[in-house]
Amino acid sequence: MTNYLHVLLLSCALAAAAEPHCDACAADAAAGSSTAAVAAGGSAGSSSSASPAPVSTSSVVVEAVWARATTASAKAAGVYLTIRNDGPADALAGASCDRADLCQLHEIREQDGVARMVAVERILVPAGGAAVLKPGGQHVMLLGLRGPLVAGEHLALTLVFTKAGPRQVQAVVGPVGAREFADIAASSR
Amino acid sequence: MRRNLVAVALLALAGAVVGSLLAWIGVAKRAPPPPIDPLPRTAILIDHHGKPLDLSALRGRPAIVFFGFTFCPDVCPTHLGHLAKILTVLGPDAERVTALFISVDPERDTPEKLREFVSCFHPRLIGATGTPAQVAAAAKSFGASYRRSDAVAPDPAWYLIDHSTQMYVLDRDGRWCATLGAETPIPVATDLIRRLL
Repeated sequence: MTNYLHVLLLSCALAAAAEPHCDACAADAAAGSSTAAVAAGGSAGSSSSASPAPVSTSSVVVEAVWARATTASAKAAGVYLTIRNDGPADALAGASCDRADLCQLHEIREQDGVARMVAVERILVPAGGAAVLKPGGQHVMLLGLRGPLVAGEHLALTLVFTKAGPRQVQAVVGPVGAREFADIAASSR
Repeated sequence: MRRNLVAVALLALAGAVVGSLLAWIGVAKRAPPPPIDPLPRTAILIDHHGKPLDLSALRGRPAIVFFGFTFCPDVCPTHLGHLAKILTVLGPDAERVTALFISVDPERDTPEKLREFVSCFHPRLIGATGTPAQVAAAAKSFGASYRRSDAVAPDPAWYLIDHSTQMYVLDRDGRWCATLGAETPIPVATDLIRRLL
């Protein structure tokens, strides 16, 4: 079922994502890079989207970091990413971004068809496992955005892990209706 | 003649199986269904152009209705993105469908803000807001619920709203007939809508 959905989303992304409908989001067409990983250890200043593979200085690897374009007046946005961990258990314990007043770690909890967003102190990354922050689940919440996120641009964030320490990552901003990292790659083809 | 009858019977059986499967996928795993006839007789909202929007006037064409708020960074963009894909795949048929996003955040969601928000997703998408009482009446008639949540944000201006995540599908007579979610496969959703046209 998941695979089926994945294929569907991919195939629909081309059609849906390629249609700019408003000024604020019209940069859709420019969105994305085909890089499968945007991440990690000490490459903070690099705005290059051509890094071929994640670079890691510890057992934690952050990849597929993305966010959605926002309206011009938006004050909140979610950032999604995948954290892989080849070493002992770690946890994402915080984040910061100079494009927003505040970053929190959030989780959507749905009960009886009602979605509730709660702040969590940390997101665990199990030993030898992964944490996937995705729509409808967990995300890094940017609050008090100082300007809109525009499709195609990159957003620098610092993630703080309990053991691995701070990590600079670059989130690629995708179309406003993107559902997953693959949508962004699809929209730029 | 007899072979024709058999063929017709087989076709009908296949149709019934496919139909119930589609209905099952579309409606499965959802909260209690909203009232059968959710369109109130006199619920007036304001659309994203600032003009009055009479919900009872939605009758006459199928409608997809979703409740949310523009400040929402996750659930609303996910659902509206999915709705936009459904409308895009419907192509010209989308012009015979009403797609309505009703804000449960009338305090912050002005018509201007809604216009900016809905136009990002699809040109067919209509945004609606109103007084708190009007919005409450509209939500109640659909069986949708929402509640302001101040627990998360340190700045009072950044409050969030817990809200229902169903997309209600109404037929041409304004009767609720299915519920779509962000996980409903696009072909299932478009098939369902096309059968209502």
